[in-house]
Amino acid sequence: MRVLIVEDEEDLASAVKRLLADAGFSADVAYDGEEGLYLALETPYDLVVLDLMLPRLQGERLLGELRARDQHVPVLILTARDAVTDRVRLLDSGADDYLIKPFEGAELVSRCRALVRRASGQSAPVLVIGEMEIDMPRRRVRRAGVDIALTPREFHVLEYLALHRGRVVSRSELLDHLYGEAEETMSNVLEVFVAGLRRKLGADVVQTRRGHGYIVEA
Amino acid sequence: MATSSRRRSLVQRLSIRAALWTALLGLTLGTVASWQYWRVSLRAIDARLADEARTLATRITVREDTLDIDVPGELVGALEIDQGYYGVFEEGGQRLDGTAPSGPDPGAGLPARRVRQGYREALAAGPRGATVVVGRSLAPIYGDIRRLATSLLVASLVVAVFALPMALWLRQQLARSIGQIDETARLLAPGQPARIDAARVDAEFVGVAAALNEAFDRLERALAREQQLTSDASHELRTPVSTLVAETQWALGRPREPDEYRHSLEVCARQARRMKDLAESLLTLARLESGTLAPAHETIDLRELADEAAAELQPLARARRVTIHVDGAAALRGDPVQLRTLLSNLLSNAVRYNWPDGHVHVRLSQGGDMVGMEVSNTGTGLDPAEAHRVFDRFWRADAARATRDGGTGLGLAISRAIVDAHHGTIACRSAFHQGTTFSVELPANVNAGLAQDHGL
Repeated sequence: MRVLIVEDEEDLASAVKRLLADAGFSADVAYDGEEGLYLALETPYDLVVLDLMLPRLQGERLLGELRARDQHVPVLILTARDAVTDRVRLLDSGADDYLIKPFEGAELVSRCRALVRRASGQSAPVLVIGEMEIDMPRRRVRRAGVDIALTPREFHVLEYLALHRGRVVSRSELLDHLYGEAEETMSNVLEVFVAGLRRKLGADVVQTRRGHGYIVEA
Repeated sequence: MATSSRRRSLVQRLSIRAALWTALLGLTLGTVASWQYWRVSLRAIDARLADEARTLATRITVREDTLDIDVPGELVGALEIDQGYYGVFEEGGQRLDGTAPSGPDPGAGLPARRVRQGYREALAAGPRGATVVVGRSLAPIYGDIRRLATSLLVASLVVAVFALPMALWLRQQLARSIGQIDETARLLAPGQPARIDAARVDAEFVGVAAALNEAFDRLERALAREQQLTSDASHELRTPVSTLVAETQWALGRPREPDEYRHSLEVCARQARRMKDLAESLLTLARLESGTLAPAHETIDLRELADEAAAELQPLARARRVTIHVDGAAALRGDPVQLRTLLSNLLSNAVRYNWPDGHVHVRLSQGGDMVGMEVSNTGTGLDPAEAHRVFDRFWRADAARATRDGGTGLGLAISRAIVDAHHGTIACRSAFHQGTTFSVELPANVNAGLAQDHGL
């Protein structure tokens, strides 16, 4: 899952990025509102974590621009304002959730996961596909009741395809959601992960649609 | 309320005084009225007696050796009704006729008036040294005066007694007028803009109401300032606290590499220092603004202070390739620590928000009883429309936020508070991309400045 963090406090942005990375998100950071808006419009993020007090473009304006351009990406607001009126206004102007500073790292991670899950039309934290159970909060996969050990990247690929199961996901879309912009990728990296998944879970789990991409059947 | 029984009531005092005054007024009125009545009555009796005495004297005729007295019947009748008497005395004092108890006083001239045993008498001279005496009792007049005095006394007592319920009425009126003020004062609470309705209070209380309303306004403004500060402070503290929480939770989430722990600790140290700076600045500002940090009055060489502040900022200036120039000289009486803080704040701003290879100028001047201090830079500048906001607490220009240099956003607010404490003025002039100038004017002697401020 790919997240955009828009936060002008470098130390806070970095800590949030690492907290989310531990939970399996790849995060990009924008340090001001304009950069944040540009990145959010250019890149298909699964989630935006947005601070309100930003240089150049305030968080609320950024949110407004995003929604005005029909961008449905889930937005989690980080705010130091705890008045009910502020919270209500934020939610009513298109935010999906908010956290009041200072927040707990675990809560931030859970809320991010829940937002991504809901955005893909999924409410249950555990996806069941045939014999396979994908426990997203615990980052675990079982097949026929047996725990299967996956690498974090393999899990990301499986999670993304499973959240969008029944739909062909193109290679570039998958890559966009797997890696932050600063991360180097090799051309055959997806094939390596998919091969790993097939080896561990069975050849039929991830199917290739040649020339289009990959699919996990519903 | 335990003290209410011992506390003296205004209405009680007013009632007792009103009753006393009414009684005294009644007494005075009674005395004056009685005396006037006595005078008028006596004059009337005197006139009548003198007339009767004169008439009687003309009725005495001399026949050979004896005096013939022809007393008019109407005189006898009138005297009978009024409990009076008459008498005719011969020269020797022997009574010839009538019932008057005593003759003329020897040696006294005639006609005369006198009072004898409760009777008013008029004496007139008749022929051959005879004397006529006509007298009337004063008892009816005394009775009248007694009755008059009694009724006046009773009337004033009645009025005095009525003054008491009048006081109660007064109390009601007072309570109504004060009640409105009281009610409003009770309603008064943070965020409750209750004010005394000046149209509803009586004329006597308009002044009080206005004074109280003003006091309420001042209190509310002070309260709003405090609330703003508290809310700003908590807002500003939330960011470093969030960073500390997030960083430590990440670091403790699972075992990390030594380099990662080092980095985490550096972040924590940085944020802790930032919170410390913020707390110190807030405390300084609160003390300055509440007036508990009154400036000392020491003679200060401002040039020396400016040179010190410039030297202290040299490392930062060198890092940003900014040159600091100090010109002029000035001396004043003030607080060296506070003025040093003022100079440091202005200088550090001027260095921070400057271009590389920029310049910062400190110009000191002394004119009359004022000291001038100007700190200008060739820096990034501000939107001129926003220049007045630089002194607001926690206000930071967008550009200042973007540099993320960890300022508390309180430096200029503290600077203004210091200038205020020295009874001076501070102003900010700025042009985008050209630079910013802070001009400070301070009275050379704070005491003299104080006197000016109070119009002495």
